[in-house]
Amino acid sequence: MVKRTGELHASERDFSRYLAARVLSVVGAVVSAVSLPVLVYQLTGSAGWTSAVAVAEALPYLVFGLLAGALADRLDRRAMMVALDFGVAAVLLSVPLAWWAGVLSAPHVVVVAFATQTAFVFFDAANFGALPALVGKDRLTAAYSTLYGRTTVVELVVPGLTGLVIAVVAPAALLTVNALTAVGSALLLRGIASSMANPRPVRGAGELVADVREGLRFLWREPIIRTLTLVGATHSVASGAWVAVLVPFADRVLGVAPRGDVRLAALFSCWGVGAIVASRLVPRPDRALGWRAARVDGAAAVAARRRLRPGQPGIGCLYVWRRVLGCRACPPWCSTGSRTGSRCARRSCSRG
Amino acid sequence: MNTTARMLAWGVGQPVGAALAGAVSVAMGDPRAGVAAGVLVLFSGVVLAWVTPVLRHAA
Repeated sequence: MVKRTGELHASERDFSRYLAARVLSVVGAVVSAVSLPVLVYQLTGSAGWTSAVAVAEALPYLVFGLLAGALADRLDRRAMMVALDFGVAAVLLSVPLAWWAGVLSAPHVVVVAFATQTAFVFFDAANFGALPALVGKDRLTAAYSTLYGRTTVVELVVPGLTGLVIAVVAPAALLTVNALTAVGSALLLRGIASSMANPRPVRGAGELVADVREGLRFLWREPIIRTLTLVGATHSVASGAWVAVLVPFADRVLGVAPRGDVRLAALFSCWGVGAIVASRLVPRPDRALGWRAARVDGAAAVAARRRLRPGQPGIGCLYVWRRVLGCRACPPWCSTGSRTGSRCARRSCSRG
Repeated sequence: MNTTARMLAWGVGQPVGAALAGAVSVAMGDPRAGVAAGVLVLFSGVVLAWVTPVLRHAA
């Protein structure tokens, strides 16, 4: 009995460490997601380079996603996560060091974005199976609830705070925060005594490839799944496009400078607000239009209801920007030709 | 199947969208053009979802 109570305390202590590590990781990831595009735009003033950072951050999931899952099933998850955290810290620290030395360049930032996201893909693959192994099946739902509750709050609050800090602190220096959170996460994960090993038998590489082929065949054969995947892909394209040009758009269209402008904080806060607004609005057209609306807003509903992710401001952002902040410039649906200087000639734009 | 669908929708869509918006913004010299390119693709998905008979049968 005493032994069982001791095991329970040890398990709770390990879960607390895991939880703290995850929250630290998410804080760092959000800080980087906001800082990197702002940094590269400050360096170059180029929408091309800023979108290159977005591409570099998005590619690793496609390139390494399946490999990472297979590898995480075969390696020591804790060792893998700790090593990746330390690796991310080292890579990130190269940015502030290069900045202080006056040798920081846009390609350097793009490479760092690619490397840190690649590490994240492998970390996430290991993390995916770590929690079930750590807490067991009985406590898994409660553990996920606690974990996602905390990280969602972080994802709602930290983008805006980071935008606020960027108004006074250089984004290159701010990446030190992510390096420190990565080190903190690594130390916390290293202190976990419970096993995070894979409880299920590991599949062979051939079986994995066969699974992927079968998945692709199924997608191709099933018209409903195929159509939904295609619609989902168009939504992701729009999301990727918005993330890529958000900072240049803020600077050139909304008049929000990439440095020294606290309104950047409000813009980044819209990440969470847009998702919340969309999740509240989606049921209304469903009721009014029936199945047609359900088709059309399906992708939006998925985006709004899934966990918020840095870099997904959503269309709600633009509404918030207009209504709350009274932005000086027009939203994108006003064409360039309709604007005169900083004022909008269209009657529909009341705040011009 | 879920993973494959997610890899295609999310893994391909995000980098393609970012690259598309960057290229269009640079070519047109205006980030609004990049946003518009993304919105056009999104709109094509909406149209597809609206007109396809496949989802009507499923609803």
